[in-house]
This record gives sequence, structure tokens and C-alpha cells, in this order.
Amino acid sequence: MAKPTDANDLAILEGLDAVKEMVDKAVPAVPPPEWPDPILPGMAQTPEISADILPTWLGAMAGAVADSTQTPPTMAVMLSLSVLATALHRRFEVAPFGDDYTEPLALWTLTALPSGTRKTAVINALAGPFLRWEKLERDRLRGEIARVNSARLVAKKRIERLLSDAAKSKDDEEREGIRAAIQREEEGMPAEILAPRLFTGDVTAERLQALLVEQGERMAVLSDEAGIFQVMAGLYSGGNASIDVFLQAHAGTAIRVDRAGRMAHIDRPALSFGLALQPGVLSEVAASRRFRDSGLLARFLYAMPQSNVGRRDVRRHVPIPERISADYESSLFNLLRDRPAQPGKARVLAMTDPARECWLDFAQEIEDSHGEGGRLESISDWTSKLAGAAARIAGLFELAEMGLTVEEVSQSAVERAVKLVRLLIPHAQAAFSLLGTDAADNDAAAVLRWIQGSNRPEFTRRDCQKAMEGRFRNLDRLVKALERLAHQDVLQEFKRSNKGAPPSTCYRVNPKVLST
Amino acid sequence: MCAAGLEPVKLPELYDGQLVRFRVAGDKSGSRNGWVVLHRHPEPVGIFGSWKTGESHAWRMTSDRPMSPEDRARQRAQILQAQKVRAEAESQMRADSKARAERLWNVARPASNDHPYLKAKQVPAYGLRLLRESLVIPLRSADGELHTLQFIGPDGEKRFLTGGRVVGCYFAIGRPSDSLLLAEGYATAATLFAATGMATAACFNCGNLEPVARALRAKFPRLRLVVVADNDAFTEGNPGLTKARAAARAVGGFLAVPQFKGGHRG
Repeated sequence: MAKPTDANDLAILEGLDAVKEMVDKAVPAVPPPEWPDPILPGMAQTPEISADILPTWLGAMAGAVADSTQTPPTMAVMLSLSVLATALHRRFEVAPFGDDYTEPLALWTLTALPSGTRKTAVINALAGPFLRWEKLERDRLRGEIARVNSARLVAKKRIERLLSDAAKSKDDEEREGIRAAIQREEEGMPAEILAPRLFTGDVTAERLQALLVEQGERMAVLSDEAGIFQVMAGLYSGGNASIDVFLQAHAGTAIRVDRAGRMAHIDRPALSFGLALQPGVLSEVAASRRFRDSGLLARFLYAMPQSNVGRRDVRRHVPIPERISADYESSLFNLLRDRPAQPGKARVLAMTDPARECWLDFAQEIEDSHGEGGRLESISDWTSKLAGAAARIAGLFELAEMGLTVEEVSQSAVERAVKLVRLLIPHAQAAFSLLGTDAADNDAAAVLRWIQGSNRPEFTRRDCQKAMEGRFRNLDRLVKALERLAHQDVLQEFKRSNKGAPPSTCYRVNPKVLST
Repeated sequence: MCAAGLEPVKLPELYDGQLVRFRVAGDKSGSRNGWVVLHRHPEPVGIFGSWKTGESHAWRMTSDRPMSPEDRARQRAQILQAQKVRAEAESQMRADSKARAERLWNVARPASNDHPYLKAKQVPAYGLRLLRESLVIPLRSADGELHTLQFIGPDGEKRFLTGGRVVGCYFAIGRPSDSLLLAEGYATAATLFAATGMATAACFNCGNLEPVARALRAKFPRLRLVVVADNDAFTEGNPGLTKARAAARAVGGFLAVPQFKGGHRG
């Protein structure tokens, strides 16, 4: 043989086994595409959300705060959104179609970052102007509050005395005169004035109802503590979750509380959340099925940024530029200008035609992705509210950028809002992988444990069902779990044909899952 | 034509507007795979190509004199006419070759493993036939239609039926289950089938690996295709490996390359 070149030459020289070995070692001509990061607790790489996605002054402040505190800009962006909602909710609503379907501007954001990531510093920097505004308002109203309180005290004392006189009186005519005097006192008593409050850090459901009544049907919770979830989970109500007021205040539906010793009638409540918590808290929250089943968890916009801990430069100290913080504060104060103490009718902002089209395109895209078997099916309760959230954020952006006199939400505000909520989808997927957990999630986790336990780069559905037949009595349930893992970029499905038999359904496993 | 790699063995006599066939240098004697059409007016234009490789080229004499719109229109019509003539000629030639292939295949008798070529290559006759002293291998398209035949003489000399379609045609050994191997010649394909039991397609030349791979990918979209290269390490550019890799890439397939030990390193 002159110069061996092909498999036949190889067989003659080294035998058929060498040929078989060569074929077995065949390599893909095109290297397989890089697997994306699987969406599993602690493994998903969520995109950073840059501060420039926010309107001018707000973005500048969020960026400066992130830079100064050396924290992920995503956290500052999320808390800035909540701050903006706190300033504007209840006073404005967005009507995408210009009719009676409106989205209030209340917004719930939750940023999950481990302990020691300067969450408090970020909240303090962004909510600082609210504290100053509350103090200014308190100071401005101090005289008026003192006058009204003293007048009310006098009137109350006088009524007490009149009641005593009436009880002692034996003459009907005299008693009727005293009753009329009490009525005059009651009618003449000035309404109580309370210093305005914009936000709280921790509140019970009952106190929240009272705060909503006192504060013009609006309140916000800006906090880096998880106490609010403990309250919701029933810390003060014998372990019975108490979340109705929170749910109603997100949607803006009327609250009617008529209990012995407590009444609250709130027609159009607005509650915003700006929370920055430890991821572990999210896992604890997941323990309450009521939270997810009621849609409470679906109301939050989640951010799961990568922690900067371990990558910060301790020598670097960059204060927030005075110009930026002053601009931020004055812009916020402008938004709070003429803020009525008592609730009135919210002003409705319609969307321009192009803005509505842009919003509807996004809403349709989400609708097409979160149905049965869709890419976003596992978080469909969350995505069901995403188009509404985009409309709310667009309204907030428009008001922040153009001021309180704006009449319509523009296309650019909607585009920016849509861009932002798109970025939030992987964050939500990462958050819900911590939050868990519908039945398919639990099944998917079990399948994943089996894959990792047996360290399989590839397997057939039949193998999996056989190995887990105790759990999966029927195929539908297993298929659902495998689909879920495929959506989480853990698996890729493919078919392998069989001689004289139907093809096998097989799965390739993301190597990043096996390496952990 | 020389620059395009289609140098005629002997310069053919060209008639204005008529298709003329010729033997390309390097092709077997008696073959007439090359073709050329020349138009002398208004500007000399030639179109030429090879039915073996499927390629075609155009040539035009450069001139400083700009063509008038009428001349340009006339030339475009001539080119279209030449293309039509060529297509008709090719179609007729393919049909003739197919009919001949059918006829010869039907008269050929089943081949045994005793054929000198098979003995030399140490492979059996998988579905081959014998016509006089030559092994006959059918070349079919993916839809199973017979297009042409390859003849292998006792000395190993290989010839195709003149004018038959080779591009995209192959000879299949075995039935595919999950994987399908592609190789160049029959002996390689038969060896692979014997060694692995996997269905194998002989594609007859490295240039035909990619057309066959594409045809098989269209027919079996889920099958794992493994292109087994001829490792022409002693030929400049290693055409066997280059073409095999291109074929495997084109269909998202796998590539296997024989490596030889010691002095036989390929």
C-alpha cells in the first residue's frame, strides 16, 4: 500500500476495530453552541440594569448613588422607581385606551441582595428628600395643627361636660337644649390635621388601613428589612396571613373595613413598595403558598443583581455630586408640589396612538409567550401583570420627564418602560426560582436532582420515567417537569430514531448544571 | 477556460451560438463533460462549464467601445438562448444516461465477493452487480431514482456512465437507525458498514460529499450524520479532509478522520 488515506486502508492496516473506534470518536464539525446559564437558584446571570434607562434627573441620581456606594446600578434603579411611584401614585393613572381601563401608578419593587451590600445606604440616599419634605411640611403645618388640635380638645371637653349635664337634667326641654349644644359642638369641631407622611418602613395591615385613611389613600413602604413580609405572613394575626389590604392597594380597589372599634373606608387606595432584602428572605417567603396563590408575589417587580461584594475598592470614595443630589431633590419636590392632603379624583393620562401600539405589541408578545408550553409559562402569574407594570412605569417616566402638567404618555416613555420590563424578565425568572414553586417546579427540581446525582450528559425520557416511577405515575407530569427544565435552559430536547420503533425522546443536559 | 480549471484536452471547433462538448483535461478518456457556447456578435461572449462538476463560467472580450443598448439587448437574448440550449442539452443527456443506466443495471447480474477489486479491498459486495468483468454500482438520488452507474474494473479502474448525474447521488449500504455515515468510495463505505453496522452512503468523490449530505439531511432531519473523510495528507490542501469538513459543517454533522500509526501516518 503506497499511502494510506481512507477507512478501508485503516481496516487493512489496523483492523475493523480501529475503524469503529475512529467513527465512535467523531467530533461535531461545528462546535456546539455555548449553553446559556441555567435559570436555577444562585446560577442565573441576570442582566445589569443601567441607570440611564431612567429619566434624566432620576437616572443621574441613581447612577451617582450606585457609583458612590459601589453597589449594582440595578438596585438604585429599582428603588428609584419606587421613590417615583411614592411621589406620584394615587394622583395619576394611565389609561392605555383612553377609556375606563386604567392602571394606577403604584409600583412594587423588590431587590434581592445578600447582607452587607449597602442596601440601607442606597435607600437612605434615594428616600432622603422625602424625609426633608415631610419635615418641611410638618414645620409649615405646626401652627395650624396646634390650633386645630387645641380647638378639638376644647370641643371634646365641652361635649363631655354637656353630656354630664344632660345626664343630670330632669327637664326634657333643658335636655333637648343640651343635645342641640352638643350637636353644635360636634359640627363646629375642626377636622383633624395630620402632618403628611410619604412612606413607612414597617407597618401592620391594620395600621396600613389607618395610614391610608389618614394620608389621602396613599402610602409607601420603603425598607431594607423583611419585617413587612412577617407581618403579611401573620406575625400579629396568629399566623393567619393578612394580605388583603396590600393586594387591594396595589390594584387600587376599594377597601371597606367595618369592625368593632375600627373602620376604614378607602375608595381608591395606592400602595407602593420599595424593598431591598436578602435572597434568603425570598426563600422564606416562598414557604407561604398563600403569597403566591393570592398573586401577592406576582405583583412585585424583582431584581436579582450580582453582588459587588469582594470587588469593591475600599480606598475609592466618591460622594454623590452636589449638583446631582440638589437637582434630584428639587425635581422630587416639584412632583410633590400641590399634593392634596385629601384624596381627589386621579388625573388620567391617555397614551398617544404610537405609544399604545408599542405597548400593545409588547403585551401581545408576552401573551404569546406565557401560555401552556410557552417560554414564560412558569411565571405566567407574574407576566400577566407585566404589561400593566409597563404602562405604570411609562406613566411615571412621562411625569418625571415632562412634569405634572403632562396630558398623554408618549411613545418614547413607553419604549423606555418596555425596555426596562424586558430586562426584568430574567430577574423575575431568577427570583421565582428562589420563590419556587408550583407543582411543576417541584417536579423539575426532583428531576434535576436525579440528573445531577447520576451525572448524565444525556438521557431518554423513558430512562427518567423508569428511574423516578415512584414520583411520576403518569407521563404528563414528567413531560411538564422536563419542559420546565428546558425553559430554564437546563435541558434541550431532541429525538433519536429507532430501527422499527417510534423515535425516543431524549434530552441533552446543560454542562453547567453538571459541573456544579 | 484554463483559468477556471476546465482546460480542454483538444481545442474544440466553435460555431456561433451552438453548444459544443469537449473532454476536460484530467477527465477520463472518452468523456465529454465540458461544454462551451460562443457568441461572436455583437461582442464575443462565451459561456462554458462542466457537467461533471456542475460549474459554469462566463467570459467576455473586453473592449473600449461601449455597447449600444440594442447590442446589449441582442447579447442578453443570445445568452438566454444559449442557457436554454444548454439546459435542453443537459436534460436530454441526463435522460439518455438514466435510460442507459436502467438498461445496464437490469442486465447486470449480482456480484459475488470474488471480484478482484473486492478481494484487494477486503470488502464484500453489498448489493453490487457485475457486468462483464466490472462491478456495477448504482447512483441514486435521495428519492431513490437511479441516475447513473459506476463501473469498477478488476484492476480498480473506475468509470461513470457518460453524461449521468453524479452530484447529489449516492449508493446506500444498510438502513439508517440513529446515525448515517458518509464516505467517498464504495470500498470505504463497505468497510465502515462492516465495522460499525451503521448505514453508510458512498458519495464517489469528495466534491459530492456536501451535496449528498444536504440531500440526506433533508430526507432524515433528525439523523446523526457522520462524514468520514479520506485523509489526503499527502495531497496539497488535503482535499478529502477539507471537503468532508465542509460537508459536515453544512449539515451540522460529525466528522471522523482516519489516523495512521507510525510510517503510515495519514
